[in-house]
Amino acid sequence: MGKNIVYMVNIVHDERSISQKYEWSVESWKNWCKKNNAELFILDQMLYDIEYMAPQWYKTFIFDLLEANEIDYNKILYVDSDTIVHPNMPNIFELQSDGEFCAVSNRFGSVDWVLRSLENYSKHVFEGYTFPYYEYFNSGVMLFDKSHKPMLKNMQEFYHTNRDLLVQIQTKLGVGKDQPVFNFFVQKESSLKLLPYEYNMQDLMRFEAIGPDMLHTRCGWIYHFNCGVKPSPGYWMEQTYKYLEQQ
Amino acid sequence: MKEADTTLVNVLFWVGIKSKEPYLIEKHGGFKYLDVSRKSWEWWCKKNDVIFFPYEESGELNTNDHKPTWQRWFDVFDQVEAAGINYNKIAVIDGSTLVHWDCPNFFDQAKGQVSAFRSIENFRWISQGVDGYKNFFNGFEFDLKKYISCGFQVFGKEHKQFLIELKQFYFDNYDDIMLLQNDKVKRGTDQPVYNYLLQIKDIDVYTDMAPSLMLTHLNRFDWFSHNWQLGDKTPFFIKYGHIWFYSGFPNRGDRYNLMQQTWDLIKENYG
Repeated sequence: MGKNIVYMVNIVHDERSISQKYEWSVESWKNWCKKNNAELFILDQMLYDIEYMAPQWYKTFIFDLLEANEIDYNKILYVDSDTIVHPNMPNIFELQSDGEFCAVSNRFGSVDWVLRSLENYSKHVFEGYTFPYYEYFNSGVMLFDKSHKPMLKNMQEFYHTNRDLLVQIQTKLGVGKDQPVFNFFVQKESSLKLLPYEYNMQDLMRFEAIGPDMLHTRCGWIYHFNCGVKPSPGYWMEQTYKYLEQQ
Repeated sequence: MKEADTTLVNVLFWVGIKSKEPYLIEKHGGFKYLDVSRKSWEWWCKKNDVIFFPYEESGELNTNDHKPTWQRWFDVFDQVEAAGINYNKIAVIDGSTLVHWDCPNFFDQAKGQVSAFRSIENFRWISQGVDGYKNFFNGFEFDLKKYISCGFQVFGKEHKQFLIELKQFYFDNYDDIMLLQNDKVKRGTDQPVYNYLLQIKDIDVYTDMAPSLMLTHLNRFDWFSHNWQLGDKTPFFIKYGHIWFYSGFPNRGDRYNLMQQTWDLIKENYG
């Protein structure tokens, strides 16, 4: 049996992505992997023309990439490159049973965006299918195993078939790219296990968790610097990484 | 001879004390909001065969020295038992809430000694409370990941001993607790101490009831919004929530106004 894999998409393709300081995220996950006998796999190349497919969709290619690189694997943790992990986070792979898809609910934050995402995609893309709002998860931290390979393949095909509609919804309504589609596919094709907030701490400013005292590092394990954290995600990734290194 | 009724019932212990203390009246912007809350809960209890038990008079009449938030824990078992109710589980809920007409029977979801909801809405406020009491609890290493809200809990008889010990602790340490509560820490009343004792006594708290049963900080998390992109004007909190907590508003009196507005919007659903 192969190692557990931590998968990141870290593609530098424009000025904005150069300045994001994702290297701190990479370093933090590299350290955690070493400590937990896991392997970090980073995708740093475009798979498609960016006009055709945004890099967010590359999350669905993990099985293809591992197999193309002849990497034997067991479980897979996908993490966004604007996350920092606490070095002492327990082995997250142990929270997952066979066949379970694990993620953290996206109800922690602005529910306005989440509920519009759920409702709009339900109406325009998934023919009225819906599910409990608190099961809508954030796709910035997700645990897969081999049983999810067909689901991710189906998502790729779904994208190719419905690309124009998806891009139109993304552009006009602004309620998510891969994330809503992940949610509907998991509801339809997998078994969802919700992990506690500590494993994907989103919208840290709204929760008043972030500050010079590094309070957020006492409240959980994976810090996700999304939702417009000020002054910038890069600032907080660097500060958090350096602070945790000194502990 | 009539046989004794041995059927166990579930009880909703609704905290609705209208304190006469000027300070508390001022702090809460009056207590008219309790009248709105009561209507929804009475109706829901009847629908779900739950005993509605209004907690309107505390054991200690001085509610300034002994806040109702503390006294509810000291009185809950005493009052329910004094009323001769043969109970199974008891839910303690703040009167600053409204319940959705179709709220599921949450007693079916509660498990173990005590069921409650984690409180993570404001880590700053929570951590200040926890840190402020740390020395008082001899440096106990409190786990912030287990901090719960005291606003809504469901428990069975097995939780009685914990509440007896909480009461004993409160009176044994009354002066110190009041100093921390009112002057030094000022981050809640019963909640920090209740949380510390849960962890110190290693009480297992079930925290996986449906999140829709406790919508708090409605403004902060945009629950008052609606799907303007689909032209649906129904506020999200009504569409998705089952119990609404009216707290965390900037102005005194907001609570009553918002509860009354909500009630006016939905009251026709309550028979």
